[in-house]
Amino acid sequence: MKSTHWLSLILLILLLLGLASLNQTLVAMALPVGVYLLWGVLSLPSNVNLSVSRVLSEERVNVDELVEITVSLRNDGSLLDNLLVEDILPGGLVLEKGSTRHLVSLQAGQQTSWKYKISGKRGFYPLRSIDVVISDQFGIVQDRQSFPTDVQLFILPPVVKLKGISIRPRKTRVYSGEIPARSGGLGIDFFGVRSYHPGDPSNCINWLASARHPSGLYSNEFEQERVADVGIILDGRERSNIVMSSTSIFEYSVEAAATLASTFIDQGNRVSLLHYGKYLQWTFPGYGKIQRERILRALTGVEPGHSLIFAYLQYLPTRIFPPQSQIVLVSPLVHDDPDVLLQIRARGYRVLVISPNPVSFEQENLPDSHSVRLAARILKMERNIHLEKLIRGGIQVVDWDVSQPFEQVVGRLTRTPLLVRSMNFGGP
Amino acid sequence: MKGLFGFLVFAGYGLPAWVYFRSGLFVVGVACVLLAAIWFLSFQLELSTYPTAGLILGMGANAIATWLHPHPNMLILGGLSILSAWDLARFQRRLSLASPGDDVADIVRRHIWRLLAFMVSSGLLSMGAMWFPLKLGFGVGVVLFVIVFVGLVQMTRKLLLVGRDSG
Repeated sequence: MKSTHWLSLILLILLLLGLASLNQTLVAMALPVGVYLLWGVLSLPSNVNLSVSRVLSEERVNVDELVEITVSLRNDGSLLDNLLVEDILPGGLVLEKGSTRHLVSLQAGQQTSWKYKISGKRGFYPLRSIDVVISDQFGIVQDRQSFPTDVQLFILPPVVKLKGISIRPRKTRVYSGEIPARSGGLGIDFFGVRSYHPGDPSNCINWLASARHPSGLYSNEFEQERVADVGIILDGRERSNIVMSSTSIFEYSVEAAATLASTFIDQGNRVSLLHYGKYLQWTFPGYGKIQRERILRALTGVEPGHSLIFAYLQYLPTRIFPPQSQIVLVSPLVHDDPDVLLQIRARGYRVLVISPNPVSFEQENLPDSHSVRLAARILKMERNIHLEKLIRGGIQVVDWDVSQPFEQVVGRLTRTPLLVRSMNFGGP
Repeated sequence: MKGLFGFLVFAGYGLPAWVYFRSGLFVVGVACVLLAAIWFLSFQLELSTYPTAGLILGMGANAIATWLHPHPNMLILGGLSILSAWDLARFQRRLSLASPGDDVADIVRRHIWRLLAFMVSSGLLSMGAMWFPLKLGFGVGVVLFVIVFVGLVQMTRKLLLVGRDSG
């Protein structure tokens, strides 16, 4: 609109001066300006009937995976000259190939389309509209319109395929699974010997025990294997998550939470997710692929945040998890967390802590100097004391140096006998 | 397009400059030539702020030169050239928004033809208007003056509002 204002001002000044001084040349000079304005205003398309669509090659992708977006325009109205189409990408998405902005002329009934490729960081990106600037033939009057294209893109956190993770909660559910249920029945591992019940298969009879006790027969019992309730707690507190330049340790926590959730679900367990940060974000417990998708989608949108209430783990609502179930906390941990975790353990929950190491993460992003090395050493010692406290309290701890791949560190859990022990926990 | 723009800018400023030189106003004439050079340079450097200033100054230079009584068609052509140069400068800015795959050549060709059509039609109209003597009665003159004055005030107010909103 600014262009029309300036032109109108010039036109009026020329006319005013021309009339005031009876200068015919000035009035004649004003005529082209008037014609130009009139031409522009009259050539503005009155019948705008534009169909805009946007199609994504995939609506859910992993980080750094390319997504091809196809934008199509069809002009069902009159001629549209100098049509500027702008697809404004939300922050976090990066244009990899092609262009999101195009200048086209569309005849009545004409159709055009173009493609471009994007990638981005983990997150949920609603792509709600495409902006189109419709202008007259000289571009002095412009009309910006937004055309809704309701598509959404989920960029999921990376999920690493693990063989399985050994956990042993006190309580299991009724369905068969992979977790030893501490009760005799059908299974693989030897559990005990009991007196023979009619119907027991002959290969279950413990002949040695039966020979020692001629009064009756004895059968071998095996440990039942069932599924369990697993509650994953993702620590999104600002005070525990370090941000260094462009990276945050929180991203490693999200990766770990996504991998663990996927693995536990693959094992047939009932898994829930609690994001503990600025507020509580709770994904209800569930089984199967749909639950995995729910958890992964919940993880796309999580960000670390600060809350006065949830700044400390003591307000963790553990009662939302079934009693004596397995709790997995993914957190870099701060100094006051071990006490709270020991309280949770004392209530009968099995606790596994996956802790991305904030000290090594920060040290990697700092220049290598004597003072940095000394500070890191002191912090590592302090952290080791906290982790040791947890291990002594019967909590399984995985101290993850984020320079190593998660599957390599947590892979030992797949082979570990079901004892409480620490992983990758050594000296400074 | 750069050649056409250069021609229009130097025609738009050159014609009033020649009038000023002929009337002995060398400083003003040189200023006109300098303004043309600055505008051409800003076009080369793709600066977006200068075109409107160039338009106002150019139209002003042509308008003021009318009181030196040169041939009127000369200044009408000067004003028309300035206006067309301003249009081309804005068009170039719009073109910079196009992506490499767009059919820019077609858009440019159509715009140039449209601009030439405008220049010819409005130039002929203005020159034709000079054949008809402007004879207005006092009352009609005053009414027209008042209408234009009110329009000017309204436009100034609107411009100030737009400036405040955008700034």
